[in-house]
Order: sequence, then C-alpha cells, then structure tokens
Amino acid sequence: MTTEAPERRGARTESPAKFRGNPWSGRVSAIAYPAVFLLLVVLLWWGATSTGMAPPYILPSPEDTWAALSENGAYLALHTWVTAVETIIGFLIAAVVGVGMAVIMVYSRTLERTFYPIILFAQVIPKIAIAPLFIVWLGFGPEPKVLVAVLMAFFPIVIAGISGLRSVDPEALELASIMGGSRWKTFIKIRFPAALPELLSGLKVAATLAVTGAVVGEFVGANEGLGYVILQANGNLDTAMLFAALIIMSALGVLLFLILEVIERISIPWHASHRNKDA
Amino acid sequence: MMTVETPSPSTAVETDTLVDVDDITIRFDSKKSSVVALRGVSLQIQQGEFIAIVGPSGCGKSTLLRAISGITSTTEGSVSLRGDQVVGPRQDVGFVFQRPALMPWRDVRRNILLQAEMRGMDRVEARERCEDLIQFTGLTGFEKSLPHQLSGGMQQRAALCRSLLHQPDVLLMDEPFGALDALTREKMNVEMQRMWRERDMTAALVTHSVAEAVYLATRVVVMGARPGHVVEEFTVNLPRERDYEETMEDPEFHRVAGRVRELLGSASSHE
Repeated sequence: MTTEAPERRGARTESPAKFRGNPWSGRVSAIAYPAVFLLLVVLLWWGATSTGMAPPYILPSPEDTWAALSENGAYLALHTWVTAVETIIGFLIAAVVGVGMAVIMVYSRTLERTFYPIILFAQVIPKIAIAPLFIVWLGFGPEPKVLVAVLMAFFPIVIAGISGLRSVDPEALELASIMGGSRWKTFIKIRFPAALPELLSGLKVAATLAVTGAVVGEFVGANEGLGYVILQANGNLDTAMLFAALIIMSALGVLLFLILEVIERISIPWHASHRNKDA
Repeated sequence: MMTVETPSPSTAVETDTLVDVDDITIRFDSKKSSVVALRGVSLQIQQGEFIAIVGPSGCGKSTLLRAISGITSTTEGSVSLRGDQVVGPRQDVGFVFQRPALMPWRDVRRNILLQAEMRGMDRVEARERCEDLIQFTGLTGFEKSLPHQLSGGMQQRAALCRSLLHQPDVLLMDEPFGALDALTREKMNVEMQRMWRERDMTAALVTHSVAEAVYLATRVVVMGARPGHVVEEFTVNLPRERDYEETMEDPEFHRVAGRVRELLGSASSHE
C-alpha cells in the first residue's frame, strides 16, 4: 500500500474549476438575469398604462400598485399574516401526513392498494368545489382554509415520498440485511436519506400549492386573509389593491420555496443537483 | 460431471470446513416462467482458503455466493456456515458487490462505520478497527471524502473496509473489481492478495477474469451454465505469498489458467 499514491477523481474535482472562471459570475447571473427580465416586464407594464393603452380599472399602473402596497401596509400585513399561518400549518400537516402515508404505502402492498385510489380521488376533486363543504363543516375560522391547503399540498408529497423511498439501491438493502440492522435502523440510516432528494422536490412543489390552497379556502368564505383582500378589492373595482395582494401572495409562495431550497442545500449537499452549483 | 483433478481439500483430511454447500438447487419462479439458476451444486470452503468462482455469464456464480450469505434462499439442498444451517441473511459474512453501494451522503469513514452502527458494535473498538482498515487499504487522507469525490478503486476499497469491519468469518465478493480499469484492477488484486495472506481471511470471489482467479485463489471453481453447475475444481499449487509479475510467469499459473480457459471455451462453444 505504501507504494501507491491514492488517486482522486481528477475529472470531477479539478476540471470544473478551470471552466468556472470567476466563482462569482454564477451567483451574479443567478440574480442579475431574472432581475433584468423583471425590470423589463415592469417597464412594459408601465408603458402600457402610461400611454393609456390600458385604463386603470383594467390594469393599474406600477405607481398605483406601489401606492396601494405602501399606503395599506398595516392592513396588508395583517391579512398576509393570516394567509401565511394557514399556508404554513397546512403545509406542515401535509408534510407529516404525506411522508407518513408514503412510508406506510412503501412498506405495505395491501395498504398501498387500499389508500392509493382514495388519495388519487382526493387529488382529482377540484378543491374550489369542495371548499364550500368545508366551510359548512368547519365554520368560518382558519380550519377550512388549512384543510384546503393540506389537500392541495398533500399529493405531490406522497407521490415524491413513495418514489423516493422506492429509489433506494436494492444492494444497499441487501447489505443492511447482512449487517443485521433492524427495520427501523435500515429506514433511518439507509432508506430515508436515500429518499430525501426526491422528497424535497415534492415538498417544494407542495409549498407553492399550499399558498393556493389557503387562498382558495379564503375565497369561499372568510373575513380575513389575502383571498378576502382580493374579493374586497374586486368588489370595489380597486385593481391596484388587487394587484398588491397578488404580488404579496406570489412573494409568499416564492419565500416558502426558497426556504425549502435552503433546507435542501443543507440536508443533501452530497446530491448531484448541488455539486458545483456555480459552474 | 464433477471431476476433481488434484486431491481436493474436501476429500483430504480437513476438519475446518467453514462453508458447506450441500447439493443445492435454486429455482426462481415467476408467474410466466421458472428458471433454474443452480442445480445440484456442492462446494466446501475450508478455513483460510481463497476460492475463486469463474464461469460464463448466467451460470449462477452470483447466485451461489448469495446463497452462501443467505440473501437468496435455496430451493433444495442446504448451506451451512460453521455447521449452522443458513436460513436467512447471515451476519457473520462480509459481502462486497460489483458496485461499491456506498451511501452517497456519508463520507468514507462514516460509510465504513455504518457496519458498526447497524450491528450496534462497541463504538471505540469499531472506531479503532476502522482506522486500522483505512490505513491498511491506503484510504488515509480520504476519510472525510464523499463517495462521489473518489475514483472507482477508492470507492471499492471503502466498501471492502466496510465489509471487513466486523471481522466476518468469510468474505464473499461478487465481481468486486469488474467495473475498474485494468491497471486499478491489477493493483487491487495485489492488495487483495496481501490482505488475505496477512489477515488470515477466508474468501470466496466471483470473477470473469481467469488471471485474477488463478492469481488470488487457492482453489478455482469452474462453473457451467443452463442450469448453473460446477464443472471442475482446480487446486492452485502456488505459495501463499504471491508476487504479481512472478506469478504471471509461473508455470503452475499457466497450467491452471490454461485448463480453466480451455473449459470455459468449450462451455461457451456449446451455446
């Protein structure tokens, strides 16, 4: 063994650095490109409204929207908070139940056959159509909104969880049996970490859907939340306020997505999707 | 069918039979078809032997190895390890697959220690043995590398360390060097030879390479296909310590390698 200098895999560790050049260029372009594009969209928007092509009751100008945002800060913050709480609680419940269901279904063929049709059925039902029923059942509080958010977010988590847990290397499982590990140890040390990349993809999709779910719930019957703000603004033909609410809503979805992206980078730095990310 | 060329260890007076494969048949049944992977295979492995199993693709070499470890169960016949009948996956073996099957989220050291965690071994002792194996296989300096940062050879060394951490009675290797380039493979063969000799291991190796088989093994088992069966066994009368270049030129090496190639050639010409 002393005769040999152990070889590192040069192709992977060295060559990307050569092509990467300035390590900052990747990060800058990740922010600069979308920022420039966004600016362009706002410019077009501003052009369309200032030339009178679109009247304010159809398309509010960027200035009016900004005014609606800044002048109603406290009002919007309150309703954003309501929607954010509903979304996050809904998402967390969906994550726990979704992952639990995925585990159960991967370990038991019988339970998979039992639950799968019901889960699919719950997914294909238009959520907006059952939301009124939830209001009847659960009243006008946050519960029906959370429930719609759970229903929206649940499906991608279960699907991603099942496929992630199934994607474990079969040889790793055989190895585990030779190592004499219990089912629990095998799950915690081999199966679950192997499922994380796919599971996190599902969670990212689910986070954005949870926002939609909460707002849909609010549309049907609420006296607070961003969905309520939109309905009010719509009734008053206040398109500037409507736009303001829409922008906050998107920002909320993007924020949740980014939080999960950070969790992903921390929890699966080994995964191919996070290697040489700046290259 | 099973002719023994030189006095086989199984007929010699030896008491230390570690692995006893007794007339096993393995059939894989599916709804549409039934495939006989092995028929009437017997094989004894003595303490301290290095067995190489060669044969054409689909002759059930891997199945035989898996049957010894208990991952695959036998349809007929029985396998015993140290006198105990194998009924399920055995924990007193070490298994190395063709692919290293390392956990991509664990660095080299933690991949090796997975063995200890799964078994609930004593931490301090496992740690010590782990460092010893890392040093022995030349992984020093790579303890904290993730698998994807390592070459195929280094990955396989880590897998080897993991399969040896619990000091198994027998090391079973299913084409462990098959995916490596020729030079790395040669290097790994030399290391494997040294490891077996210095650590008093008992090993069974499935391989496609006749040179690898004869260089490493004390006994070469040639298998044939359809269904898988043992064609012949050859004892390799070479010293325990084998220099690579010298062995490659040794007349005994050529005699055995030649006979094995002959048999494999005739086996494949029937296809």
